[in-house]
Amino acid sequence: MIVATLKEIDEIRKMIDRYDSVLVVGCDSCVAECAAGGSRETMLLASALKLSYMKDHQNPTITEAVLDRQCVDDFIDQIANQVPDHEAILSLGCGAGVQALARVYRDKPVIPALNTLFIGETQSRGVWQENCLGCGNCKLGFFGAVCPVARCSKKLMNGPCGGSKGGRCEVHPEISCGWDLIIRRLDALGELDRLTEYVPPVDWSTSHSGGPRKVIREDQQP
Amino acid sequence: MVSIPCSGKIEAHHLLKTLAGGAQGVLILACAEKACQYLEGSSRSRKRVDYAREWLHKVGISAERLDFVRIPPMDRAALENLLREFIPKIQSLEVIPAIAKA
Repeated sequence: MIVATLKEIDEIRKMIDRYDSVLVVGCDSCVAECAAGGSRETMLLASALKLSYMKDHQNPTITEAVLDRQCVDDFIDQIANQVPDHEAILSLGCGAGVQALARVYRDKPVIPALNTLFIGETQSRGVWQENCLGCGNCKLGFFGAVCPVARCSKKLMNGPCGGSKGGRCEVHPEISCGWDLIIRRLDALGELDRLTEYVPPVDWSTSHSGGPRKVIREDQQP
Repeated sequence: MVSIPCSGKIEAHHLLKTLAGGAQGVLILACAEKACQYLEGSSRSRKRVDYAREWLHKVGISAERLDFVRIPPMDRAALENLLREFIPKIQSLEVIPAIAKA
Protein backbone atom coordinates (compact mmCIF):
# COMPACT_ATOMS: atom_id res chain seq x y z
CA MET A 1 0.00 0.00 0.00
CA ILE A 2 0.92 3.66 -0.26
CA VAL A 3 1.99 5.07 3.10
CA ALA A 4 1.48 8.73 3.92
CA THR A 5 1.28 11.10 6.86
CA LEU A 6 -0.91 14.12 7.51
CA LYS A 7 0.63 17.51 6.95
CA GLU A 8 0.73 20.00 9.80
CA ILE A 9 -2.48 22.00 10.06
CA ASP A 10 -0.63 25.33 9.72
CA GLU A 11 0.69 24.28 6.30
CA ILE A 12 -2.77 23.18 5.21
CA ARG A 13 -4.36 26.41 6.40
CA LYS A 14 -1.86 28.50 4.47
CA MET A 15 -2.98 26.72 1.32
CA ILE A 16 -6.75 26.90 1.91
CA ASP A 17 -7.24 30.17 3.80
CA ARG A 18 -8.10 31.93 0.54
CA TYR A 19 -11.24 29.84 -0.01
CA ASP A 20 -14.67 30.33 1.58
CA SER A 21 -15.70 26.73 1.04
CA VAL A 22 -13.59 23.58 1.02
CA LEU A 23 -14.59 19.98 0.33
CA VAL A 24 -12.36 17.72 2.44
CA VAL A 25 -12.09 14.39 0.61
CA GLY A 26 -10.64 11.27 2.22
CA CYS A 27 -9.65 7.96 0.64
CA ASP A 28 -10.62 4.69 2.31
CA SER A 29 -7.91 2.55 0.71
CA CYS A 30 -4.16 2.66 1.38
CA VAL A 31 -4.13 5.88 3.36
CA ALA A 32 -6.91 4.58 5.60
CA GLU A 33 -4.80 1.54 6.46
CA CYS A 34 -1.90 3.77 7.45
CA ALA A 35 -4.25 6.02 9.48
CA ALA A 36 -3.49 9.12 7.43
CA GLY A 37 -6.43 9.80 5.12
CA GLY A 38 -9.38 7.46 5.74
CA SER A 39 -12.82 8.21 7.15
CA ARG A 40 -11.49 8.76 10.67
CA GLU A 41 -8.72 11.11 9.62
CA THR A 42 -11.07 13.00 7.30
CA MET A 43 -13.41 13.68 10.20
CA LEU A 44 -10.46 14.54 12.42
CA LEU A 45 -8.93 17.02 9.99
CA ALA A 46 -12.26 18.60 9.03
CA SER A 47 -13.12 19.05 12.71
CA ALA A 48 -9.67 20.42 13.51
CA LEU A 49 -9.96 22.91 10.64
CA LYS A 50 -13.41 24.00 11.82
CA LEU A 51 -12.08 24.53 15.35
CA SER A 52 -9.09 26.40 13.99
CA TYR A 53 -11.29 28.76 11.98
CA MET A 54 -13.83 29.11 14.81
CA LYS A 55 -11.02 30.23 17.11
CA ASP A 56 -10.12 32.89 14.53
CA HIS A 57 -13.79 33.96 14.21
CA GLN A 58 -13.92 32.79 10.60
CA ASN A 59 -16.64 30.61 9.12
CA PRO A 60 -15.61 28.90 5.90
CA THR A 61 -17.83 26.03 4.80
CA ILE A 62 -15.97 22.78 5.42
CA THR A 63 -17.66 19.64 4.14
CA GLU A 64 -16.45 16.05 4.47
CA ALA A 65 -16.60 13.28 1.88
CA VAL A 66 -14.78 9.96 1.64
CA LEU A 67 -14.19 7.88 -1.48
CA ASP A 68 -13.39 4.18 -1.50
CA ARG A 69 -10.54 4.95 -3.90
CA GLN A 70 -9.42 8.41 -4.90
CA CYS A 71 -7.40 7.16 -7.88
CA VAL A 72 -10.26 5.61 -9.90
CA ASP A 73 -12.76 7.67 -11.89
CA ASP A 74 -15.73 5.45 -11.02
CA PHE A 75 -15.24 6.38 -7.36
CA ILE A 76 -14.18 9.99 -7.99
CA ASP A 77 -17.49 10.58 -9.77
CA GLN A 78 -19.31 9.98 -6.48
CA ILE A 79 -18.54 13.51 -5.28
CA ALA A 80 -19.56 15.16 -8.58
CA ASN A 81 -22.66 16.70 -7.02
CA GLN A 82 -20.74 18.13 -4.04
CA VAL A 83 -17.78 19.64 -5.90
CA PRO A 84 -19.65 22.55 -7.58
CA ASP A 85 -20.72 23.89 -4.17
CA HIS A 86 -17.12 24.35 -3.03
CA GLU A 87 -14.31 26.64 -4.13
CA ALA A 88 -11.60 24.05 -3.55
CA ILE A 89 -10.92 20.41 -2.70
CA LEU A 90 -8.63 19.37 0.15
CA SER A 91 -7.51 15.82 -0.61
CA LEU A 92 -6.46 13.25 1.97
CA GLY A 93 -5.48 10.92 -0.85
CA CYS A 94 -1.94 10.03 -1.85
CA GLY A 95 -0.21 12.02 -4.56
CA ALA A 96 -1.93 9.89 -7.19
CA GLY A 97 -5.34 10.62 -5.65
CA VAL A 98 -4.70 14.37 -5.57
CA GLN A 99 -3.72 14.39 -9.23
CA ALA A 100 -6.63 12.19 -10.25
CA LEU A 101 -9.09 14.57 -8.57
CA ALA A 102 -7.42 17.50 -10.33
CA ARG A 103 -7.70 15.73 -13.70
CA VAL A 104 -11.41 15.01 -13.21
CA TYR A 105 -12.39 18.33 -11.60
CA ARG A 106 -10.36 20.57 -13.88
CA ASP A 107 -11.83 23.88 -12.72
CA LYS A 108 -11.18 23.25 -9.00
CA PRO A 109 -7.97 23.82 -7.07
CA VAL A 110 -6.99 20.55 -5.35
CA ILE A 111 -4.78 20.87 -2.28
CA PRO A 112 -2.92 17.92 -0.69
CA ALA A 113 -3.41 17.31 3.02
CA LEU A 114 -0.90 14.44 3.13
CA ASN A 115 2.76 13.88 2.50
CA THR A 116 2.97 10.69 0.43
CA LEU A 117 5.98 8.68 1.58
CA PHE A 118 6.42 5.15 0.22
CA ILE A 119 5.09 1.73 -0.73
CA GLY A 120 5.09 -0.38 2.40
CA GLU A 121 3.37 -2.75 4.77
CA THR A 122 1.72 -2.54 8.17
CA GLN A 123 4.43 -4.23 10.21
CA SER A 124 2.56 -4.02 13.49
CA ARG A 125 -0.16 -1.76 14.91
CA GLY A 126 0.97 1.80 14.33
CA VAL A 127 4.17 0.82 12.48
CA TRP A 128 4.51 1.05 8.71
CA GLN A 129 7.65 -0.16 6.95
CA GLU A 130 8.90 0.80 3.51
CA ASN A 131 9.70 -2.32 1.50
CA CYS A 132 9.20 -1.56 -2.19
CA LEU A 133 10.57 1.19 -4.42
CA GLY A 134 8.49 0.21 -7.45
CA CYS A 135 11.65 -0.26 -9.53
CA GLY A 136 9.72 -2.10 -12.24
CA ASN A 137 12.06 -5.10 -12.36
CA CYS A 138 11.28 -7.30 -9.35
CA LYS A 139 14.09 -9.59 -8.22
CA LEU A 140 12.56 -10.70 -4.92
CA GLY A 141 12.75 -14.32 -6.07
CA PHE A 142 16.53 -14.18 -5.83
CA PHE A 143 16.58 -12.65 -2.37
CA GLY A 144 14.17 -14.64 -0.21
CA ALA A 145 11.44 -12.04 -0.70
CA VAL A 146 13.48 -9.31 0.99
CA CYS A 147 14.19 -6.46 -1.41
CA PRO A 148 17.78 -5.20 -1.54
CA VAL A 149 16.64 -2.17 -3.53
CA ALA A 150 14.25 -1.01 -0.81
CA ARG A 151 15.67 -2.61 2.34
CA CYS A 152 19.42 -2.11 1.80
CA SER A 153 20.25 1.56 2.37
CA LYS A 154 22.91 1.34 -0.35
CA LYS A 155 20.77 -0.71 -2.76
CA LEU A 156 23.51 -3.35 -3.06
CA MET A 157 22.53 -6.30 -5.27
CA ASN A 158 25.45 -8.63 -4.71
CA GLY A 159 26.01 -8.98 -0.99
CA PRO A 160 26.36 -6.87 2.15
CA CYS A 161 28.61 -3.83 2.34
CA GLY A 162 30.38 -5.08 5.47
CA GLY A 163 29.45 -2.07 7.55
CA SER A 164 26.51 -3.49 9.48
CA LYS A 165 26.80 -4.53 13.12
CA GLY A 166 24.53 -7.00 14.89
CA GLY A 167 22.12 -6.98 11.97
CA ARG A 168 21.76 -3.19 12.06
CA CYS A 169 22.60 -0.88 9.16
CA GLU A 170 25.55 1.47 9.51
CA VAL A 171 23.47 4.25 7.95
CA HIS A 172 21.21 4.24 11.05
CA PRO A 173 20.97 1.74 13.91
CA GLU A 174 17.16 1.78 13.68
CA ILE A 175 17.36 0.25 10.21
CA SER A 176 17.69 -3.52 9.90
CA CYS A 177 20.48 -4.56 7.53
CA GLY A 178 18.67 -5.69 4.37
CA TRP A 179 21.38 -8.19 3.55
CA ASP A 180 21.32 -9.63 7.05
CA LEU A 181 17.58 -10.23 6.53
CA ILE A 182 18.14 -11.74 3.07
CA ILE A 183 20.84 -14.18 4.19
CA ARG A 184 19.02 -15.26 7.36
CA ARG A 185 15.80 -15.90 5.47
CA LEU A 186 17.43 -17.84 2.63
CA ASP A 187 19.41 -19.84 5.22
CA ALA A 188 16.18 -20.68 7.08
CA LEU A 189 14.57 -21.74 3.80
CA GLY A 190 17.59 -23.84 2.84
CA GLU A 191 17.99 -21.76 -0.30
CA LEU A 192 21.30 -19.98 0.23
CA ASP A 193 22.32 -21.34 -3.18
CA ARG A 194 20.10 -18.63 -4.69
CA LEU A 195 22.87 -16.18 -3.89
CA THR A 196 25.29 -18.02 -6.16
CA GLU A 197 23.15 -17.04 -9.14
CA TYR A 198 24.43 -13.99 -10.93
CA VAL A 199 22.16 -10.97 -10.60
CA PRO A 200 22.92 -8.49 -13.36
CA PRO A 201 23.14 -4.78 -12.60
CA VAL A 202 19.75 -3.16 -12.04
CA ASP A 203 18.15 -1.75 -15.16
CA TRP A 204 16.95 1.55 -13.76
CA SER A 205 15.24 2.48 -17.03
CA THR A 206 12.17 0.60 -15.75
CA SER A 207 12.13 2.72 -12.59
CA HIS A 208 11.07 6.34 -12.27
CA SER A 209 14.50 7.23 -13.64
CA GLY A 210 12.98 6.56 -17.07
CA GLY A 211 10.32 9.23 -16.48
CA PRO A 212 6.63 8.76 -15.53
CA ARG A 213 5.61 5.17 -16.29
CA LYS A 214 2.37 3.91 -17.76
CA VAL A 215 0.81 0.47 -18.11
CA ILE A 216 -1.56 -0.04 -21.04
CA ARG A 217 -3.64 -3.21 -21.42
CA GLU A 218 -6.02 -3.38 -24.32
CA ASP A 219 -7.88 -6.33 -22.79
CA GLN A 220 -8.86 -4.08 -19.86
CA GLN A 221 -10.01 -1.21 -22.01
CA PRO A 222 -13.62 -0.67 -23.15
CA MET B 1 -24.05 11.96 28.66
CA VAL B 2 -23.08 9.57 25.88
CA SER B 3 -22.76 5.94 26.96
CA ILE B 4 -20.44 3.65 25.06
CA PRO B 5 -19.55 0.00 25.74
CA CYS B 6 -15.88 0.80 26.38
CA SER B 7 -13.80 3.99 26.53
CA GLY B 8 -11.46 2.28 24.05
CA LYS B 9 -14.10 2.95 21.40
CA ILE B 10 -13.40 6.68 21.65
CA GLU B 11 -11.09 8.12 19.03
CA ALA B 12 -9.66 11.56 18.48
CA HIS B 13 -12.03 12.37 15.63
CA HIS B 14 -15.06 11.79 17.88
CA LEU B 15 -13.73 14.27 20.41
CA LEU B 16 -12.77 16.97 17.91
CA LYS B 17 -16.06 16.64 16.08
CA THR B 18 -17.92 17.05 19.36
CA LEU B 19 -16.03 20.27 20.09
CA ALA B 20 -16.43 21.52 16.50
CA GLY B 21 -20.15 20.80 16.86
CA GLY B 22 -20.51 23.26 19.72
CA ALA B 23 -19.47 21.47 22.93
CA GLN B 24 -17.13 23.57 25.06
CA GLY B 25 -15.54 20.58 26.75
CA VAL B 26 -15.67 16.80 26.98
CA LEU B 27 -15.10 14.74 30.11
CA ILE B 28 -14.15 11.17 29.25
CA LEU B 29 -14.86 8.66 32.00
CA ALA B 30 -13.01 5.36 31.78
CA CYS B 31 -12.61 2.30 33.94
CA ALA B 32 -9.43 1.67 35.91
CA GLU B 33 -6.73 0.32 33.62
CA LYS B 34 -6.50 -3.04 35.37
CA ALA B 35 -10.28 -3.35 35.57
CA CYS B 36 -10.77 -3.15 31.81
CA GLN B 37 -13.11 -5.95 30.71
CA TYR B 38 -11.62 -5.73 27.22
CA LEU B 39 -8.02 -5.78 28.52
CA GLU B 40 -6.66 -2.84 26.52
CA GLY B 41 -9.63 -0.48 26.19
CA SER B 42 -8.84 1.86 29.03
CA SER B 43 -5.16 2.24 28.15
CA ARG B 44 -6.03 2.80 24.49
CA SER B 45 -8.51 5.52 25.30
CA ARG B 46 -5.91 7.39 27.34
CA LYS B 47 -3.57 7.48 24.32
CA ARG B 48 -6.35 8.60 22.03
CA VAL B 49 -7.43 11.41 24.32
CA ASP B 50 -3.80 12.52 24.52
CA TYR B 51 -3.67 12.51 20.70
CA ALA B 52 -6.83 14.62 20.52
CA ARG B 53 -5.32 17.03 23.04
CA GLU B 54 -2.24 17.34 20.79
CA TRP B 55 -4.55 18.38 17.96
CA LEU B 56 -6.25 20.98 20.14
CA HIS B 57 -2.83 22.35 20.98
CA LYS B 58 -2.03 22.54 17.25
CA VAL B 59 -5.16 24.56 16.49
CA GLY B 60 -4.58 26.85 19.46
CA ILE B 61 -7.42 25.68 21.68
CA SER B 62 -6.85 24.78 25.32
CA ALA B 63 -6.28 21.05 25.75
CA GLU B 64 -8.01 21.38 29.13
CA ARG B 65 -11.28 21.11 27.24
CA LEU B 66 -10.68 17.38 27.09
CA ASP B 67 -10.37 15.67 30.44
CA PHE B 68 -9.77 11.98 30.98
CA VAL B 69 -10.56 10.39 34.32
CA ARG B 70 -10.65 6.80 35.48
CA ILE B 71 -13.37 6.19 38.05
CA PRO B 72 -15.11 3.06 39.32
CA PRO B 73 -18.33 2.30 37.43
CA MET B 74 -21.52 3.42 39.18
CA ASP B 75 -19.66 5.67 41.63
CA ARG B 76 -22.13 8.58 41.57
CA ALA B 77 -20.41 10.53 44.32
CA ALA B 78 -17.09 10.49 42.47
CA LEU B 79 -18.84 11.53 39.24
CA GLU B 80 -20.60 14.44 40.95
CA ASN B 81 -17.31 15.63 42.39
CA LEU B 82 -15.65 15.42 38.98
CA LEU B 83 -18.42 17.44 37.35
CA ARG B 84 -18.24 20.06 40.12
CA GLU B 85 -14.60 20.59 39.15
CA PHE B 86 -14.86 20.14 35.38
CA ILE B 87 -17.80 22.44 34.60
CA PRO B 88 -16.39 25.59 36.29
CA LYS B 89 -13.00 24.87 34.71
CA ILE B 90 -14.56 24.82 31.22
CA GLN B 91 -16.70 27.86 32.00
CA SER B 92 -13.58 29.78 32.97
CA LEU B 93 -12.11 29.29 29.47
CA GLU B 94 -12.85 31.63 26.59
CA VAL B 95 -15.89 30.36 24.70
CA ILE B 96 -15.16 28.67 21.37
CA PRO B 97 -17.18 30.79 18.90
CA ALA B 98 -19.97 28.89 17.18
CA ILE B 99 -19.59 28.17 13.48
CA ALA B 100 -22.17 30.01 11.39
CA LYS B 101 -22.42 27.69 8.41
CA ALA B 102 -22.63 23.93 8.23
